[in-house]
Amino acid sequence: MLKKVLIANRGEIACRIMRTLKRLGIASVAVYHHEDRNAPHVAMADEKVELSGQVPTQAYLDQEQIVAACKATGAEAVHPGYGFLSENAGFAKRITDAGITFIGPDPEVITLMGDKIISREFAAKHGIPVAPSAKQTGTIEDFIKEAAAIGFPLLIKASAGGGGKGMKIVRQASELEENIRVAASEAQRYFSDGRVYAERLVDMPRHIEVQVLGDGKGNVVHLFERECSIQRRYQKVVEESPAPNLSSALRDEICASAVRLCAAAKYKNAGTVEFILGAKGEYYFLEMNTRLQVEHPVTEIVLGLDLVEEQLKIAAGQGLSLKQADIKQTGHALEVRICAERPEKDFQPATGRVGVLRIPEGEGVRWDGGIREGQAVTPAFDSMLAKLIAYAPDRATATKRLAAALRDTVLLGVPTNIDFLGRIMANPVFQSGKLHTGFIKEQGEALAPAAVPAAAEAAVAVAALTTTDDFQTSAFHTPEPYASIGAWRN
Amino acid sequence: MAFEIAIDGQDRKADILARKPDLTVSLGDAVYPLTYAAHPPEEFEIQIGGKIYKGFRYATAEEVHVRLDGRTFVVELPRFGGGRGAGGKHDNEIRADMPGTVVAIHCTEGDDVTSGQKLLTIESMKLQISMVAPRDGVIAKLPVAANTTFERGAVLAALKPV
Repeated sequence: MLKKVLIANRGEIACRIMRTLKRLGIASVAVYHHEDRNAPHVAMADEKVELSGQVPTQAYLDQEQIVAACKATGAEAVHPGYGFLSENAGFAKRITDAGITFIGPDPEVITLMGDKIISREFAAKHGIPVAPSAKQTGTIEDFIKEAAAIGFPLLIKASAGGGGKGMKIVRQASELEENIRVAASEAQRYFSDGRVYAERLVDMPRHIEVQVLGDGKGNVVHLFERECSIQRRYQKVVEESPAPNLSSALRDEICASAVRLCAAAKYKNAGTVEFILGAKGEYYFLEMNTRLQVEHPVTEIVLGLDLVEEQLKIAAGQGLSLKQADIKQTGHALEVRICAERPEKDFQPATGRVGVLRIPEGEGVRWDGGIREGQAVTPAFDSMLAKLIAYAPDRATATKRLAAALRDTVLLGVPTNIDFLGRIMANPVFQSGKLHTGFIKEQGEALAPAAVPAAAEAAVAVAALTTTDDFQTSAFHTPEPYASIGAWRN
Repeated sequence: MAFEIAIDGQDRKADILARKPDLTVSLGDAVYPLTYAAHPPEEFEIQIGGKIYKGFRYATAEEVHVRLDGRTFVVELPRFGGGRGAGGKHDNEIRADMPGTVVAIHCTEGDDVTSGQKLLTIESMKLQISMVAPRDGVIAKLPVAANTTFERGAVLAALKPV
């Protein structure tokens, strides 16, 4: 097994990886930017190396400094987490060329799955269903004609993209040209690759994804599905396993498709194959993420597995420790992403400082966080602060546990979506499990905050006003002669 | 001495009516005799009419965040920014809630715009956000050029005063 692993990441996922390393007796090395010097992932690590960079993201993306940090500390492997360099084939190659183990797939497989167009073609070639589509091969004018020929509604995406960036929905021909041009310019901006492609949009789709493990020799097992249909701004906010209201026949078929794709690619590492599922049971390959996923904890909990441990074993050449027949789902797990944002303002990201933090506890509750009191939340990083996960024998109980844990969470100083997530848990449509990616928009009014009882509002007002000197002085420190006439003073 | 505050964006007027025997505070037209304690300072306990309200609070530079019964309230206070709605100046300015970059400008100075019309696209925390006109009007100023960064609170567009 590996003896020392460097984590080329920060925040909750860096902490998450270090927990497993610690449990397995593997030394950990954190890298960090000066701005993160007091962050939990730095405090948790056995060793730490500061990376320089004008802005923090630059430091975490600096391949040369990360290789140098491995050399300096003697780390024999790099875990990239998610985001940053996790799906960068050049980085995987550079690490491998330096004689260090990259905890992830081979660079060629990252390249294959990293390109939406090439990966789709690969999937189609291996009999995995893909949605009718058109890709940009020539000029943007030609592409506009080809896209229109598929029929509407259409989805326009960045070829190199992910996370919904540069993605547009077009419902009629008159809106097509402008949307393609905007998507292309956003794609250029985000991914330095302006190519876009168009795909038939499945109305009210569900997002179903399959967790897989592959050994790089063509042996692949699936770890069942996750439902990630509750999204805003094309990004997931609630994930769960198993998917509610999914027949076992259809689930088995989708999981088998994922295994077929990964076996064909000789996939190595943990990975996720994402599908879109329509109301009639039609499903299409969306993309593959060649890394650990944000929402991996729900799978871990229902299977009783540690996915980071599995990644480490595969990277160390020990192969798959599990046989498909031995992998069984038990109970139900739900995860919510706690983000610094303002749900009432179209989920705009927010900044601030974590002033008060109380982490919830309870039966079946897990908190995957990387924040502490006093920490600044800056625009430099993704707005996700932590993940809250709840497990129970059934979905209804898991939902209740997660709702209670959200109520018990105290995170003040930066606006968050905590209360919004609580209202999702309380929503009858959500509870019925009839989910689709338009849920948040569709349930907009039902998800609005309820009215507050007048006396509770008075308590809120007093709790806020008593933080000011003016109110404190008038209420508690006014000299007696004045205080006694206070009631008549208006 | 009345305190003009806003709770989750709703204007409210609070006042201290009496200090003894109980601290008595009004909010709007309603009057509440209460007891108040806070130990440690971020945890408060307020009793109103036999009911105990226990929660957490944190004062940021702009507002106070109050956590009560599993819900966070944002309270704006008079010490921040010289009172709410003073002079109606805010209505003329489109300001940034957070630092970021102007990605695109969809209007020019002198343009007639309508309420809700997209004026600029900004990028902040890796997300693109549309800034829209808060009312009908004429663009007076676009102080931040495209591909330029700005700080939190910066004026991104100004409308001519009505």
